[in-house]
Formats: sequence, structure tokens, C-alpha cells
Amino acid sequence: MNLLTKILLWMFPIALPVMGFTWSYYQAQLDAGAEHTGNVGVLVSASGAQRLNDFLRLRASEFTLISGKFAVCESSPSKELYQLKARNALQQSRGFSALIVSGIDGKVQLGQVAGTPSNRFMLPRSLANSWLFTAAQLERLNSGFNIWQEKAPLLRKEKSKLFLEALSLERRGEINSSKYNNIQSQIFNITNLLKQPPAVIYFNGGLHAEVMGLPYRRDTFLFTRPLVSCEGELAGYITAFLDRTQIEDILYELRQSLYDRGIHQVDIALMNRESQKYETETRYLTDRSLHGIVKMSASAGYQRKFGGFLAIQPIADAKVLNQLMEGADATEQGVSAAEYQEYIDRFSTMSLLVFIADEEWHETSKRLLLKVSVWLLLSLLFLFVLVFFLARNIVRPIVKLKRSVAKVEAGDLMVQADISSNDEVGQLARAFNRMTRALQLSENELQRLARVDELTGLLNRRALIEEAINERHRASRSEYGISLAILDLDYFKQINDRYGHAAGDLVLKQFADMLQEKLRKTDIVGRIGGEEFVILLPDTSPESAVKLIDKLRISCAETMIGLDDGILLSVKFSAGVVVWSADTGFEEALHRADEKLYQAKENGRNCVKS
Amino acid sequence: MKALLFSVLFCLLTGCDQTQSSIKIGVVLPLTGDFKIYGEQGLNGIRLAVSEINEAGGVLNGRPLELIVRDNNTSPSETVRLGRELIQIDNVFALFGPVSSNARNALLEVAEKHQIPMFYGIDYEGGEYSRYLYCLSAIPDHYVKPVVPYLQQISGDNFYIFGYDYIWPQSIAKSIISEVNKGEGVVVGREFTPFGISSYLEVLERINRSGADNLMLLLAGPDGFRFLEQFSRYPFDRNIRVMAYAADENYLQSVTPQALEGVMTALHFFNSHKSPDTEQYVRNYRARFGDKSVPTYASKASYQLTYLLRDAIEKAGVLDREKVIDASLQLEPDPEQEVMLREDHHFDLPMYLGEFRQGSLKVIQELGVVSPSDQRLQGSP
Repeated sequence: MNLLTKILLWMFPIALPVMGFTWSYYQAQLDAGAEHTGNVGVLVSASGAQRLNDFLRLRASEFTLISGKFAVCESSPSKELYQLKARNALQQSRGFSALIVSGIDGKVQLGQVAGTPSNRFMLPRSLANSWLFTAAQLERLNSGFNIWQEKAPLLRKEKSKLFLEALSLERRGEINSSKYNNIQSQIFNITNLLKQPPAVIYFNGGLHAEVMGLPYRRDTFLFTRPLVSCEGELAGYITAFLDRTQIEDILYELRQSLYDRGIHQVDIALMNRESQKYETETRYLTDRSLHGIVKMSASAGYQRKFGGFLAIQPIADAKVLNQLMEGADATEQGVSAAEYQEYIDRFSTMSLLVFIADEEWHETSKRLLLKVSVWLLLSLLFLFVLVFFLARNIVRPIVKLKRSVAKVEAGDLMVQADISSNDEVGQLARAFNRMTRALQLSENELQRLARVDELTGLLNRRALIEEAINERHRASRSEYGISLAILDLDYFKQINDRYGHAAGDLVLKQFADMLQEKLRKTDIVGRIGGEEFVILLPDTSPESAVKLIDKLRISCAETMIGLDDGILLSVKFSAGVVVWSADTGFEEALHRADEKLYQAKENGRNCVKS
Repeated sequence: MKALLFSVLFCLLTGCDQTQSSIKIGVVLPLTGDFKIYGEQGLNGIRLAVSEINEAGGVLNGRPLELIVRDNNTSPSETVRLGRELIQIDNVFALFGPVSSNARNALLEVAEKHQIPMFYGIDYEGGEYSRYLYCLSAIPDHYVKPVVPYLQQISGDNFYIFGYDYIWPQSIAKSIISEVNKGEGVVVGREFTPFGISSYLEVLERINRSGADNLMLLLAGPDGFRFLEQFSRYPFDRNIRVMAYAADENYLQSVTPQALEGVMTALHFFNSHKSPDTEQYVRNYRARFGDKSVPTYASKASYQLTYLLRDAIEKAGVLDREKVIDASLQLEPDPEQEVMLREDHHFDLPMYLGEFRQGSLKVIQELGVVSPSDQRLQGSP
């Protein structure tokens, strides 16, 4: 495993907290979303119930107004008259879609459809001769009327008694007393109660609505009141169909307020606990969940068994509206908002349901998960790239250094690690460079030592041969060829004998210096043993070579060499000069020069032979 | 790789709101009742377009269209009820349908109230304008103006008008009269009848006596079938040319060839028309609904309207009704046919005159692309 992989592996655990963080963010967002949605659901159910209750309450008072049109008895009631009354009455209401007049037996006599927008294009059909009420409903209407009828003489008596009392108070000038006010309000209430028999409200009539051609088929609130003949007898009933589309519109607006918040998978419905059914269309709430829901009281929360968030809020139903109408008829002040709410809490069997289906969460959570995963992926990718580059940044100089070391190992001392950074690796690289340079220097010195004659600093025999071969190659292009001279100091043994070896060495050294000084730059000088020296004279003709060496001999002889104890000596030498022709080896040329030297020695020394 | 990168970037920028949930389209059409044949055709056109669009990858990066279909039984109040339910409960994005002006007006009121675009694809009397209503309909300007002079030329100057007693025949009649009066022609009779009459003998006698050369017939559906049969058997003392408005290929199955022989009709689509576009459409239609199925203009109109909705949503780029409506103008849902949406939400349509001959309906005259006057200036008829 290389270093890069190692670093990457070591850095990898950083990804774990990143993933952990992302996951907890996802969970938190999901919880927050659920909580938010739940809150919205609660809000919508509360405000929705409020709106529905207000709407129904308004319809109740509107019905009092409508039925008031029928309160005055007709001496000769006719269909046309009632039709006209019904039309007038409907024109003054906004919340009813039809008015039906039926006989004592509940048989429909005539129907009038309101000109509400939802009705405008329908083709009205007659309900005549069908039955509007069930036997039980008719029974209830009847008994209500009978009780009212029975109570009426008593109430009238009570009313005249109150009148007399009020009159006597007026006579005494007590019209500002609380007693007087109290009597007046009682008179008002009794008048109210006597005016019309009590209204009864049912939740029913879906079938009739369909037959009439109203734009709904489901039940609605039917406000019914008995009609009284001029003889004080029951003359029939008027029934107003509450415009159900307006309730649906309210539910739709609630739905829209959820849509606006991005919540789409919802049901907003009315549920009737008594009849055990949904009173509006549902898409997510099933009949199976209905059985569970009818058993629940007002509440809000996530319901696993129904598969979503559910808020149940009781709203006014027929029972509550009956209470409301009764209260409104019986007291001057009517019913307060608090009392109305109390009726709802006590009697209502109808509820507004706000249901946010699981599908909604699925979608939201899927969206959230996608978003979170994309971010996670991106940050992991980012982390990986960063770590990769970091690792590479650290590893690359080390690898470079490793390669340099390998080269050095292979013997290449010229290597320099090219790392310019200033960190530890950079310092290491520089130390390495210094080390190789030092190594190189000592290597050079060793090499030099191997080529040089230790005493004189001139080339030794082996180096001289190398140089000669090099020179030979070079000389192939030269005009004159190479001349070779071999020199031997005359009577050197005597110097050794007389002054000692140290002095001899000194003389050799001084002589070598002299040679280097006096010869040309191109000439190569080496000591091949004892007091024998060889001079290679590149690009030099034999004549000039002889001349040159001879001149050297004279000049050397004239130069005095000083020994340590002040003794001055002059050094003389004999020399043999030959031409080193290209077809002969160096050793052979040397041998020929040596022969010339021998001749020079024979010839009395201190001379040059060629 | 590049595409992936872009989609990831797009996802981040938009908060990954691109869900693949379907776009719901509500359809309210008469699948039973008097206008059943038009309703079924309309539905088939929508179904064909929707399946094509969904197969081609849906709308707005892969969201499929989902149809929720309701039968209004040819009743306006059912139309209102169903329209309301589709909007309020099912939360549809747009409505298609219905058939007939009563039902259309009823549904339009619902659509306007809820601000839902509504697509109407059958002939009507014209003059209706609403931001939320699109009418790919032949209106009088489309097929009265070009047809009257043609009939005068080939048949004679005397016109007899006979139709249902409701708004569409009456408006067409009005438009025929004004067109006839412009030239040499005379309207020698005008008569309206309730739905479901079984014998037209008296009407035929009156037509015979009137001296009419042309009968402008405004009876669509079963009553029209019955009338044509009786007409063909009546011993007229001369040849009378019948121009049957809204008569289409469906008549071939419901009326005997003898009764149909020579009856003319003007429409913006005939399935026998020889054009590559029409042939392609008929092929696709039959592949979807069977070899024996008969596509008519009612299906083609709904088909084109579905594409109009698709194009408008794509152009708007978001599923926002107002933006989609704004984006819809000047779109050409069927460029081959030069069907173009105008600012009054009606269409310039290529019109053809067809004639029933020997058991088939053939184009006998191309009337060209007819551009009606601005329907916003017509006022409600």
C-alpha cells in the first residue's frame, strides 16, 4: 500500500461525521416539516370550523327572515301566491338554493330555485307530489307545532298580564326602573315566540336536490318551519335548502390555504358521527378509517392507523342549529358566541376533518432526501478531492526524493532533488542535495588523486597514457601530429647521495614546477618514474619539438634551484624526442623516445637527441 | 456526465422541487345522453394526445398528464357538480369539455370562479370570451360565411333553416340570414324544434312548399339522423341541397347511405382528407382505438387542445395557471394544419366542405384557413 492510499484511508473517517451530520439534518428537517404541517393542519381546522359555524349561524338568522315572509297567514292561499312569496324570500337571501312549500302531509306543493350563481344554468325540474320528510321528521314537526299551539293561549295570557303590569308602572312613572325594562324584554320574547311556530333543521335532502337539478347530490341543511293558517291551524311547511355549494366552497378555500403552503395530499371533509358517513367527497380518507374516526373526539395529531395527520373539529350540525334557533327565538339578546360554542361542544355530531395523507410526507421526504443526498455527495466529493490533493502535495516531493536517492544508489552523484518548498520535506531535500554534492566532491578528489603523481603534482604514468590516448584521438585532425619527448635528469643520483632523499624530492618538485611554467598550455607533462618525465607536444612538428625541448633544457640549466640549507643547484637533463605517428602505439613511441634518450646520455648528457 | 452535473446544479438551485407527480386534467364530457357521440370523440382525442405526450416523456421534465374523466350525461347541472368536484376535491390543473353551450356556460362560471383554464372543443355560436376559456370550435364565421355563397352558386338562392330550439341553432340561423341577405339570396323559411320529435312530416311539407333550394340543417345527434331518413323518403318536387351543420363521419354509421347521399357539411377536419397530417392522425387513432374506430373533428379538436395545453405549460415553464394562460397566446398546437390560437382564445382554422357520397364522406372543396372576426367584440350572443 503506498503512502497516498494510506493517507486517503486515514482521512476517510472524516466522511463519517459528515454523513452523520447530514443524516441528523435530514431527520431534523423531516421532524420540523411534520411539525409545521401538523401546526398548519390544526390552524386550518380551527379557522375552518369557525368559518363554517359563522356561515351556518348566518343562515339560521337568514332563515328567520325568509320564514318571516310566510308568517302572516293567508286567507285564500294559492300556489301562485306561495310561488311569489318564495321567489321574494329567496331574493333576500344568499345562502339558500331552493325553497319548497309542502302540505300538512309533507307532500311537495311547489318548489322555487334561487338564482344563485351555481344554479343559473341548470334546468329546474319539478319536485311536485314527492314527499319531503320521513315519517319521523314529520312527527317531530307536528309535535313541535302542537306544543307551540298548546302553549300559545298560556303565553298570550302571560303577555297580557305583563302588559297590564307595564301599564301600571308607566302610570307611576317608573319607566326607567329595571323592573319595567325586565317586563318589556319578557313581552318581546313572548311576542317572538308567538309569531311563528318553532323551526326545525334537518340534514337531509340530497335526493330532492338531485331531482330538482341542483348542482349537488348530497344532503344539505334543510330549514323547515310550519305554516299557520289564519285559523291558527297547521297549513303546511316551508323548507329552505341551504346552498351546499357554499359549504363546499369554504372547504375548498381551506384546501387552497394548504395548497398555498405546498401541502397537496389533503382531504378536507365533513363527517357525520350519527349517520356514520362522510358528508363530502374524500380522496385519502377511506371508509375503513371512518369506523375509527367516528369514535374519536375533537383532536389533532398523526394517526398511524389512518395513514396521516388528522384534525377533528366539531362544527354546528342540525342539532346545534335547532338549539340556536330555539335560543334565538326565546331570548331578546339571542345566543352569544360562547353559548353557540357550548352547544357545539355539547350536541354536535358533525365534525370538520383536516387530513394530510402520508403521501404528502413521502413526497416531501423524498424531495428532502434527494436534496440532502446531493449535498452529501458533493461534500464527500469535495472532501475526497481536497484530501487527494493534500496527500499528493505531501507525497509527491517524497516520491521525488525517493527517486533521487535511487539514482544516487545507482551511482549517479550528479543528482539534485528539485524540491523548492520550504517545509520539512524541502529542508530534507536540501540536506540531501548538500550531501550528494559533498559526496561528489570527495569522489572528484579521489579521482584526481588516482591520476596525479603525489610528489610533483604532474600526471602519473597511467593518467599520462590516458591523456595520450585522448590526445591521439584529437590529433587525427591536427596538421603536425604529436611529438613526444622523454626527459631524464642528469646525475640525479649524486644529488640524492650528497644532499639526501628529501633534497632530491625537492629538486624533482621544483623541476616539475619549472616544466609546467615554461611549457605551453597545450603540452601535457607527466612523471613516469624516478627522475624520468614525459612531455606530449600536440600539433607540433618534430623540428619545433626538438627546438622547444632544447630551449627548455637551456632555460632549466640556467635556473637555479634553492635547497633548504641555502645550497643552489642547477638541473640539467637529457632528452629524446620522437614523432608519435598515428599507426604506432604509445608504448612503442615511448620506447623509441627512450632509445633517443639513451643516445643523448651516451652523447655526454645535457643534450637533446631526436 | 455534463447532463448529470447540470441536473445536480439545477436541483440545488431550485431546492430539488422537481417532483415527478402527475399533472391532473379534469374531463367533463357527455358520455351518455344526447351528445354522447361528440363526448366520446372528444374523450378519445384527449386520450390519444395524453398517451402520446406521456410516451414522449410527459411535461416539464417528465411529469405525466393524468386524466380524471367524468360523464355529465349531457346535463348542465351535472356539469357544474362534476366540474366543482374535479376542481375542489381532485385539484385538477385544467378542465376539458363539455359539449353544448348551456353546459359550457355553466362550467365556465365554475372555471372562472376558481380560475381554472378550460378547453372547449366543439362547434358553438361564437362570441364567448373569457381569460379562462379556450374554444377550438367552428363558429359561424368559420362555416357560414364561406358556405352560403358556395351553395347559391351550385344550388340556388332560396334557403330554408331548420334546427333545434336552443342557442346554437338559433345563433347559426341568425348568422345564415345575415349572410344570405348580403347577396341575392332569400331565406324562405326558418323553423326550430324541440328535442326528440319522432315525425318531421309537417316540417318536410313546409320545406317543400317554401320553394327552398337549400336546407340548412341544425339538428345534431339522433334527431338529425331521424330527420335525414325522413327527408330522403319524402317526395319533394325538386332537388334540395342539404347542408347539415356538425354532421361528421359518425353519421355514416347511424344514417343509411341513401339518406346521406349528397348531404354536405363544413368542418375543420375530415378523416378521409388526403394530407400526410390527417393520414398520420387517423393511423394513430386507429392504432389506439381499433381499426374500426372513426376519428372525427370532435376528436381532432380535443387532441389539438391537449397539445395546446402541453405547449403552454412547457412555454410557461412552471405549473402556474395564470402563467400558462399568459404563455398560451400565439401558440400553434398543430402547425401542419395552421391551427393558431388567437388573442380572443379562438382559432384560425383550415375549413373544408365535405359531401356524403356512396357511404363515405369526402372533401369536395377546400375553403382555406378561415380567420373569424375578433370574438371579444361580438358581445355575448
